[in-house]
Amino acid sequence: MGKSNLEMKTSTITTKNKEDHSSLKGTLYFVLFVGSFILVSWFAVFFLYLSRI
Amino acid sequence: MRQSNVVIDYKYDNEPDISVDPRDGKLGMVHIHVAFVAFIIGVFGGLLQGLARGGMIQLPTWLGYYQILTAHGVLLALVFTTFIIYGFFFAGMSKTHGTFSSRLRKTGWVGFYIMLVGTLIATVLILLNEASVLYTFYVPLQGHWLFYAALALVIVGSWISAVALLTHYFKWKKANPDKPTPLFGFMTTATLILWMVAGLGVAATVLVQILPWALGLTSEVNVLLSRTLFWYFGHPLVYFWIMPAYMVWYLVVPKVIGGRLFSSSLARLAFVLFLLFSIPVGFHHQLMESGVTEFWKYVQTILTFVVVVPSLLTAFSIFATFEQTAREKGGKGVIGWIKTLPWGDVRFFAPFMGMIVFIPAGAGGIINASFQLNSVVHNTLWVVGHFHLTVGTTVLLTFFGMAYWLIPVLTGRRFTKHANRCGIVQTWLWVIGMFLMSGAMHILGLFGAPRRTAYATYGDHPQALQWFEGIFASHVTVAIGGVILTAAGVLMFYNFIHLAFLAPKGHTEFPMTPDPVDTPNTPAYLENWKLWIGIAVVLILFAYTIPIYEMIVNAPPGSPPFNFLIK
Repeated sequence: MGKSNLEMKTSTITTKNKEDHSSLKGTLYFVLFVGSFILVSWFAVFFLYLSRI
Repeated sequence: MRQSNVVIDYKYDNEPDISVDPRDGKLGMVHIHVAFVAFIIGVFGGLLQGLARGGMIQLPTWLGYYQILTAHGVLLALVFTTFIIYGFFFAGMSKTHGTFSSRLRKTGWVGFYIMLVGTLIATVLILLNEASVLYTFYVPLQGHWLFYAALALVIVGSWISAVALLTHYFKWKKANPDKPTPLFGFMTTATLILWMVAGLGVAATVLVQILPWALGLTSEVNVLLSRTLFWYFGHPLVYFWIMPAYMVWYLVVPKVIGGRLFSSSLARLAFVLFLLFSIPVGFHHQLMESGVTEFWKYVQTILTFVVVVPSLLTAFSIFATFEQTAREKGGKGVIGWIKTLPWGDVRFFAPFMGMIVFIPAGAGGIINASFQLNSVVHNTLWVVGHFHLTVGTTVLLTFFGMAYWLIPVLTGRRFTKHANRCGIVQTWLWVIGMFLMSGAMHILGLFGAPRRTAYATYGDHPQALQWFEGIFASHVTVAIGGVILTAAGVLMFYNFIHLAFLAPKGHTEFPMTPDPVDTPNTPAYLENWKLWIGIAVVLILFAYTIPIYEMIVNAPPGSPPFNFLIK
C-alpha cells in the first residue's frame, strides 16, 4: 500500500514537471502584450486624428 | 504521449547533416554575391540621402537627391531582397528536396542571368540619372524606357527561376505521394506562387501601359490604373520579403536554439493564409486616392485585416517554440526561461531582434491600413519609418542572421567566432541606428513632415523649421541614425567578405528544424495547391474586377509624361 502511494507521488511529480515543460504561460503574456501594444498605438493615432478634424 | 520539443537524443540527430550539393550551392551563392554588392551601394545611397535631407551636406551638382533615393530603394528593397531570397531558396530546396537535376539547375542559371542583366541595366540608368523615378516608379514621372524594360527582365528572370524551384518541389511530391512535403518546400512554393500571381500586375502595367508610353508610342497614361496595378503587386511584394524571413523563423531558428518547431499544421496554415489574403488588398495603399469608390476600399481594408491573422499566428507559434524549448532545457518562471535562449549566437540573436522590431512595425501597418488613421500619416515620413522597420529591419536582420550560416555553408567555410562577434555588434548597431532613424521618422510624420522630398524649409515656415530643431523628432536625428546604420551596413559587408572569401575552410551546419511532432497529422488539404490558387483567384477577381473595369471604362484624363520634374 505504501509503495503504491510512493508510486502515486512520483507520478504526480512527473506530471507536474511535464505540465511545467509544456506550459505556455510566457507565450500567453507575450501575445497579450502584442495585442495591447497594437491597441494602444492604434488609439493613440486615432485620437490624434480626432483632435485634427 | 507528449513528445519533447528538445531535439537532443532524438533520432533526427542521428540523421546525417545533408549538405547542399556544391553545384546547387554555387547557383545559390552567385545570388548572394549580387545581393551584397547591391546592398553596399544602396547603403551609401541611404547615407548621402539622410545627410542631404537633414541639411548637413549639400550634394554635388552631378548627383541628384532623387537619383540616390531611387538607387537606395531599388538596390535595397528590390535587388538585395530578391537575390538573397532566391539564393536561400535554391540552397534550401537542394538540402531538403535533394539535388536539382541538371536541366532544372540550368533553368535556374538562365533565370539568374536574366535577373542580373535587368539589374545591371536598371542600376546604370539610375546612376546616369535617366531613371530618377523612385523605387515605386509611379507614372506620370517618366524614366528611360530601358529602365522599365530592365525591370521587366528582373521579373521575368525571377519567374524562370521560380519555375525551376516549383518543378523541383512538385517532382519530389510526385515521387513521395504519401508523405507530407518538407516544410521548406511547402513554404517556398506558397511564396513563389504568390510572387508569380502578384507579378502579373506589375508586368501588365509595365508592358501594356508604361513601356509604350516611355517609348513615345502612346502620348498619355492612365495614372489611376497604373497605380492600381502597381499596388496589386506592391503589397504582396511585402509578403514576398517577409515570408522567406518567416521561413527562417519557422525552420532555422528552432534548430539554432536546440528545439523543434511548435506545429507543422499551424505553420502551413499561416502560409496558405498569406497566399490567399495578401494580394486582394492593394487599395489600402491608395486610400487617399480619388477614382476608387469607398465600397471597394472598404472591402480591401477588411481583407487587409484578415492578412494580419497569419502574422499573429506566427508570433504565437515562434514564441511557443521558444518557451517549450527553453522550459525543457530547464528554464523556469513565467518569463525567466528566456535566459536559456542562446543570446550569444547571432544566428538566433539577429532574427530575434527582427521579431521584436516587428511588433511596432506590425502595429504601424495596422494604423496605415485604417482609413481615418491613414489620413493622418499618408505620404508623410511616418510611412518611410514604417517600411524601414518592416523590410529595413525585421526582414533585413533576419536575412543577415541567415547569411552568417548560409554563406559558409555554400562556400565550404566555417562560421567563425570572429564572424559571430561581428554579427552581434552589427545587430546592435543596426537596431540602435534604426531606433533613432525610424523613430524620428515616425514622429516627424505625425507632425506632418512629408516623404519623397529633398531638403526644404518651405520658405522658412515655422512648422517646417521645427522639423530640424527637435531633440528626437528631427531630421538631424534621422541623419545620425543613418550614419550609425551605415556603419552597421559596412560591418555587414565586411562579414559577407569574411565569410565568403576569408574564413577557414571547413563544415558549417545548415540549421533546419526537425519535423514538428504533428507532422504525420498534417491535414492533406493544406497541400491542395489547386484549391488555394483557385480561392486566391476568386478573391482577386472579387476585389479587383469591378474597380479596374470602372478605371478603364470611365478612365480619368490621361497624363503626359513628366520626365524633368525631379531630375
